[in-house]
Amino acid sequence: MKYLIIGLSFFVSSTATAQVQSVELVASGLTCSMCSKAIFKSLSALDFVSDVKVDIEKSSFILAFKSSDNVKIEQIRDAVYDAGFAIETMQLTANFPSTKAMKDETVSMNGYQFKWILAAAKNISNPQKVTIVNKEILPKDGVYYLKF
Amino acid sequence: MLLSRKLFFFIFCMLGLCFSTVIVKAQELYVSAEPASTMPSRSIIFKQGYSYMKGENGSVGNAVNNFNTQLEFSLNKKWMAHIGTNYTSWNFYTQYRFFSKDALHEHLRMALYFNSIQSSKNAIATNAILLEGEESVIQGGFIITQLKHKWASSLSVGPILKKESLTTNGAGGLQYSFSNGVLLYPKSYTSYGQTNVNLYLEFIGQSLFSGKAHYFDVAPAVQFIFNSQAKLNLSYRLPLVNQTNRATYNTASISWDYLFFNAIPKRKLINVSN
Repeated sequence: MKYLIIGLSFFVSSTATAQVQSVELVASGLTCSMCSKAIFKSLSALDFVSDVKVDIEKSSFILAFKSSDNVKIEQIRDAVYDAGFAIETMQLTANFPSTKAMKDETVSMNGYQFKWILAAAKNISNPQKVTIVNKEILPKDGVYYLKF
Repeated sequence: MLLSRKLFFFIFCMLGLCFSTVIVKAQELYVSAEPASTMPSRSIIFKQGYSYMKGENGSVGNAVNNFNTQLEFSLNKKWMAHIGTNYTSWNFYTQYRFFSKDALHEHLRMALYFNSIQSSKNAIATNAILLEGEESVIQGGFIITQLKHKWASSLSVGPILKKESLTTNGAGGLQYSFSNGVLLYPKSYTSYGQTNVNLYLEFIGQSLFSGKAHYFDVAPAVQFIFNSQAKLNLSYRLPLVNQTNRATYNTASISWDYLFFNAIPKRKLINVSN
């Protein structure tokens, strides 16, 4: 019985932990497939990335991860810049710890602090796709801003 | 003036094509010039080319076969270098991208370049400054490239000097280029395996500071890109205006190159911010 309780509590705590599941980004500054492949190769070389799905026409890249514990947003961003391009939009899909996003609330996830930039509270439907507002640079306070 | 009216008409039709709205996408992987964009970080390009150069009226007396090999590598995302040889000369080229403004399917970029050609031959008594390894030359300058959905153009300009002019009073000049490109195939991208066909129209000019000599060449080119990684380039360069006594000025070229992604180990040689 004791082991069952420990097991159950572990299950509950692991599902309650906020985790980034995938990142979708749109790169800017390119049209050609050779340029797109440069970004693809740069993203694929990241050691925590397991798969990159690409839509060349839309310059979009969807990243899956080997482990959701070890996702490094800065390295994803740098991989695109290293290929010679910039980021138009960056979205992440994650399981958030609560079902409601409160205005100006801060959430801890994958070692990062995320802050909701909302006009009013909004319901979260996990796994929830959200947009990182400040995808270009990590601000001095170390917080990434999220919006729906 | 070497040009017939028909050729002028052809060139202006090509220019019109480059700027018309018929074009789906433009390309800037130019054959005769470098765009302001630099190579992907940690990549290496191996390039080999052959040019057949000849002079007036197809005379074979001054025809030149020019084989060249080039290794291009990125020092970081903004800085690249090329080392090349055509077996009578060596050249070192480096380019730094100092401005980049990117948006979806468009960009504006600016770069500075420096090129040094060291020839094993003595400088040739000609009123043009020759860039195919016939003599030792130094040049530098500025490149601006704009890609905007349906078109891409690039302009480069900078001073050029025969190395012997550094010690004597020889004339220097200005070297400039204007390049346009268009993607003919595919109409829409579905995979990296699709062969791309690009058409280019490039102009290459030189004016000596003395004002006594200048040329303005046109170089149409077609380019095939395989697997988004290997390029085959075919071009023909001929003068629109030639007020020089260059021995050779019509050039047919074929070249291929292969891009090795992530070839340089992940170690920041030179740290730069965006």
